[in-house]
Amino acid sequence: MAHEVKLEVFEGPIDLLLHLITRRRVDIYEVSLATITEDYLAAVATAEGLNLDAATGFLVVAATLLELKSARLLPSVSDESVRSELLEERDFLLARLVECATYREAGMWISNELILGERFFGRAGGSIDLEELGLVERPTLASRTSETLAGLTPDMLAAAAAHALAPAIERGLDISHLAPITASVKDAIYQVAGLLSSRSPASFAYLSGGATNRIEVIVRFLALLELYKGGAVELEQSARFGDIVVSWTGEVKVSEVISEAEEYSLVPGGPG
Amino acid sequence: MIPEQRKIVEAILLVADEPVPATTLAQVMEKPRAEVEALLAELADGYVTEGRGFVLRRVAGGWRLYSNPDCAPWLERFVTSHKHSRLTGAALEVLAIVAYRQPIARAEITEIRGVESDGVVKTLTGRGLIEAQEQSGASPALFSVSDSFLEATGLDGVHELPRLADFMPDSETVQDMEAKLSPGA
Repeated sequence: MAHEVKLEVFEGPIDLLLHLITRRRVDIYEVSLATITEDYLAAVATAEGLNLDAATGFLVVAATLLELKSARLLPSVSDESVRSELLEERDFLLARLVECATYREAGMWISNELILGERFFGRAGGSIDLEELGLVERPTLASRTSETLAGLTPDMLAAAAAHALAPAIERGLDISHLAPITASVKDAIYQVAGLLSSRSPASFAYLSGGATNRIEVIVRFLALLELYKGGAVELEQSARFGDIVVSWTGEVKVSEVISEAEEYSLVPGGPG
Repeated sequence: MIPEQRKIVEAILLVADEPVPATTLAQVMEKPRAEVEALLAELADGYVTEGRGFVLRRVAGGWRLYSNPDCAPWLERFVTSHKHSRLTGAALEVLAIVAYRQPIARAEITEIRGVESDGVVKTLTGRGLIEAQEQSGASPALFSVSDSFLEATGLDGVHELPRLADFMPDSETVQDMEAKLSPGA
């Protein structure tokens, strides 16, 4: 049974309330969702056991009410667009439910095949040992040992032990072979934007073409993310692991993206 | 069928402990593949009509001798602790997704199911039913069903799976689902 709500403007089952609101008989502006939720939680607390169906039903209705109300409170969004958005969302959800149900059924089929398959015992073939019959050459333990240990004297063993047990010589950490990271995200934003100004759309492979090492490619990618976050570029990747196609939207100035990216300090000790 | 060739094929199958591809048999016997395949099919049919205790099945891209399924109850008494623990509903779902969508990345499985599936993927990998192929560089591993999955289900390959469309819920069920999505509307 649906949860009953008691409000100044309405009294009755909650799904009827939703019905009336969508028919514009009740103004959602007048409905206190906080009161409904509090009453519901209180009712659940006193009830014995939780009816999962009813609880789910309440959640769906409450979520819909919440969405309708938030849409009502934001004047820029028209009711019509909210409704079509809700419908779109619902179609998407339905498609996913159908997909899941399909795979669940396919899983049942596989389960059945696995059960049928258990009635077959595969010929294990192990009754003849090819090595035992001498058809395959197998080195004996003795021959293997003598090969490995050939020419070893007790003195050599003692020397090896002394070397292994001797305290390690303390050395300062040598970092001279490490190249300092010289790429900065801000520079990369300018580079990427510059390349895009002469050619858009362009692939990420093209945009990172001049990079000489992995770090530089990563920094270019971060720059791309900054540009995307700022709304300066659109990104598209049609295939899994495929190349990313970048196109310039022309809606935002590079300098704006740069100022937004100001706090980016992923590159430790980098210039700038 | 030439008795000599029949003898050779039976001998090889007798000592093989995994499905033997027809091409391997053809190489060993120095006979055209089509001829060997015809011989195998003839043998398989023969065992069934003769009512033998073993059958020859074409699975996982090869041929292998199996006990006759009619004898399963007695074999279960003979071979103790054969039964595997049953797979959970979630595991079967993931197995189906991998079988139909392979090769598939872990994230895609999670996306289809709408719930995190790493644990189930690990279980199925542990049971040897699916396998991961590591990709080069930073690309995620892609999962496919294993040969032992094909053997266990008696499939020659994933191309023998029934069409996925056959498992789609009927229109009545879909309408039910849709109705449940829009209460009061």
